Amino acid sequence: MIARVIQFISEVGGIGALEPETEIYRAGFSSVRVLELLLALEDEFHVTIPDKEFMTARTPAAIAGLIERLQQAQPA
Amino acid sequence: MTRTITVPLREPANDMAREEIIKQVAHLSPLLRHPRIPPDGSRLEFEMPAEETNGIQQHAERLCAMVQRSLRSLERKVVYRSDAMSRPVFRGQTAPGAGVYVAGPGQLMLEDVPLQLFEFLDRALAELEQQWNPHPLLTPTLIPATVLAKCDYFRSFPNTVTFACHLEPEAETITAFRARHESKTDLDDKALDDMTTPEACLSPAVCYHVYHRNEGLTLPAEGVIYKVRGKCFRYEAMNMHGLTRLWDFTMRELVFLGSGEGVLEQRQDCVERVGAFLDELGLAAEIRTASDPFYIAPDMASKTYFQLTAETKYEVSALLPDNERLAIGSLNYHTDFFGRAFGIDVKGTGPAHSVCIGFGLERFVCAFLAQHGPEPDNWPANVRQAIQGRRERKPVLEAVSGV
Repeated sequence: MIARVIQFISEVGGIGALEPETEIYRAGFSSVRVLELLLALEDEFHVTIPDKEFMTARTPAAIAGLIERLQQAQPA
Repeated sequence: MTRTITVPLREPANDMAREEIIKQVAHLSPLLRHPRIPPDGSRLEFEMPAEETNGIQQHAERLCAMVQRSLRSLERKVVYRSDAMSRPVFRGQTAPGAGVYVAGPGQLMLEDVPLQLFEFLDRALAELEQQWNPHPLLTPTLIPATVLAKCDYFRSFPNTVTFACHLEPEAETITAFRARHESKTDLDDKALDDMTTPEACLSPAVCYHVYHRNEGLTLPAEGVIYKVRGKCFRYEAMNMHGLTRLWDFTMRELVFLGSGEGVLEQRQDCVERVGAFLDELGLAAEIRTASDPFYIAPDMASKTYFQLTAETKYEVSALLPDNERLAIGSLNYHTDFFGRAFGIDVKGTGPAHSVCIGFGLERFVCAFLAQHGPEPDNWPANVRQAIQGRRERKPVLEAVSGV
């Protein structure tokens, strides 16, 4: 999961490889691309991610954790 | 012959989706007319010439789906609501009335009462701006194309740019152009071939000049504040009508450059003072989150989402008759976008953040006349008295010479 999340962040943001605990905005991820990333992750992991929770998840590990939690709460 | 196109929406469009869809669908075709979404939000409807409808339904469906998905569950935030919002009154209209002369598409002349109102609002806004003791800057109407490119304008709003063209400075070209136009009453269809690639455009906003003026500078820690006023130009294709959407209009702006924290505090201060000004005018209006009408491009939805979630744009939204609204001003936070684009730093904090507070004067006149009507007798006493006081004052030359 975490590796795929990192891959999405890097691809959408056009930035290099990230560590799980790297703050993605400090690593150069543009805030303007947030929606693109959000929609891509929702499509990939088949979950609906609440906007506010996504905004507070600022590292790959936090985003992956949020998706896992949502997958358990929102069974397909 | 005209055909009505109906696009069912996947789910009922809320207030924000409704506005965004109407804003964006205009980009699909210059022939598209009267886009509307009924109160139940179930569908988009518009008119098109019957012979031009090929593929438009699919394009509109895709656009609506994208807008609705990208806006998600966002709700508009109102940061100021004027007193008159609780009892809006409309004594006028938005169509050009007495004292408003339509000179061409999106081009107006004002005289008499509308002009006096325009001048009053201009003076009143100048006084409002003076509370921040801003540095005045006189700016040209032209803006170098390179400056607009740095502002990302050619990617975000290419459809609205007005290019400043001129003939190739070659005697042969100019002589041929002159000969072809000896008895013409309009430009001929070969004129564009005689022009050079534009090196300048007509400025779409006055704040861009401020960033250009400060290019490469390091500003003091407390930042700087400018006031600018000038003509602006935005070509809006099918949208140009009446006083509401002009190609050529007048803008007054207050521009703050400084630290992120500093300019955001200043914007909050502006919200309060602009709100109080709306109450003084008795205008029914709100200051609320909004987004710019970005041209349809892969990153359009992302930019809109960012503006709305990060609350970078507040618009001053005035009520008009028939449940319409008009943005008469905006209070925009650009993060450090212009600071980075123009290499402007703030001492000790890095790239400058910026805020601009802008008002479209003709739109302000339009909203005022729509709500208070064309008769000054029905206007708030402070506005009426200010205008009548100037009417009664003798012209300077007359007073000096005693004629």
